[in-house]
Amino acid sequence: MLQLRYDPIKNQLVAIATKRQDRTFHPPKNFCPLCPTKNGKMETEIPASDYDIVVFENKFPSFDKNPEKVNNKKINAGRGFKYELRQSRGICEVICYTSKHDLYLEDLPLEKINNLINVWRDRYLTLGKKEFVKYVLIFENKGEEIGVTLSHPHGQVYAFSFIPPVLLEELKSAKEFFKKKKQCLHCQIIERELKEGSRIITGNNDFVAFVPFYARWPYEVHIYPLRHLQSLCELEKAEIMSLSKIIKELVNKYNKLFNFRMPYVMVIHQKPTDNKNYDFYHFHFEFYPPYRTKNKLKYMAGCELGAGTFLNDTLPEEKAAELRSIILEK
Amino acid sequence: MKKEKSELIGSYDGPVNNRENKSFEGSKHSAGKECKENSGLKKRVIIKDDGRYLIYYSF
Repeated sequence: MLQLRYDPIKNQLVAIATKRQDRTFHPPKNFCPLCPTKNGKMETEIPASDYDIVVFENKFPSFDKNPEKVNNKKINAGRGFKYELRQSRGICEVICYTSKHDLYLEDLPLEKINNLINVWRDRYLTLGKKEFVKYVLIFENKGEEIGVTLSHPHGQVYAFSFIPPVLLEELKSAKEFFKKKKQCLHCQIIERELKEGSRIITGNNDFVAFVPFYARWPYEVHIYPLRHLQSLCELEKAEIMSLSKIIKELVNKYNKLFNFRMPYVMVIHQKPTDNKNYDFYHFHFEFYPPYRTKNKLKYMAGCELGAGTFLNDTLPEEKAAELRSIILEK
Repeated sequence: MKKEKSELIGSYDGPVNNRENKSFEGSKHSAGKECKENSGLKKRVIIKDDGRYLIYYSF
């Protein structure tokens, strides 16, 4: 069952997706559903002997491409207070970055990361053109600590029929700031970070990576284009290379920090695809690694989940200095 | 603006090439309309037995 239920208290939608309970949970070691299909062996998700990058619809989606009409009358018949169901319309895709099972994003040559960015752009454009798609979220969950059960390097794309609340909040702040100051809020933050320097991790001609002043996770890092752009698809060729370089550098720094592959959630925040004007917005990447020390995880608990206020046990300037000081071999 | 930002990065994060400066003010209003189609991408779409699509991107 796939439903969107409206929470009138929090003014948010909740996606009910019961089929996901059956999703693949730690497949046998000798069978990876995201690897190419081997000759004479059981077919994987990808019926080919090799591939560069593959995108396919998630077998266990959170939304329905062709949802049935909802019947709010039926669920509210004879009731006083009315609940609200909405069509759970959306598309969920999986992107396999490479056919190699153990080659992660940060291990790929820059040209291959460029290719992945071009696929991200293509998915954003293609899905965003669909009439019902209001927001395209591209993200990667990496590592068992995040709940990932398929270790093959992959990311996901969710095409939403609504703008999700975190993005709505960001857009609202940026719009209000622009209205008052006639400037981009994100550009102002970038400018301040660059001048101050204490939270910067790295940068190049076109991008900068920093631990935000208001970081919620100890090693949270945001990557911003220096140009005021609203989505990946506005990048020039040279900027795509710069983006590949900074992603690769950041994730390798994460890995070197504790000498293991750092798990993380990576999200790309771009403008919505509802054809409205978002010139005030500035696209960026956000990384949330869950570790606060080499062997301690930060959990979302009472204050975060129950009150919406993050407790960060660390000082962003100190964590940024740690990441900045990591030297990578060329 | 872009040049200033690059210079600022350069001041504490190693060398930054002196590439062409792109004006923030100039790009701001056009950026939203500048979406570039990935026309050069090679894609092959197949439909799986269960009706889901799968796209091979080749480079």
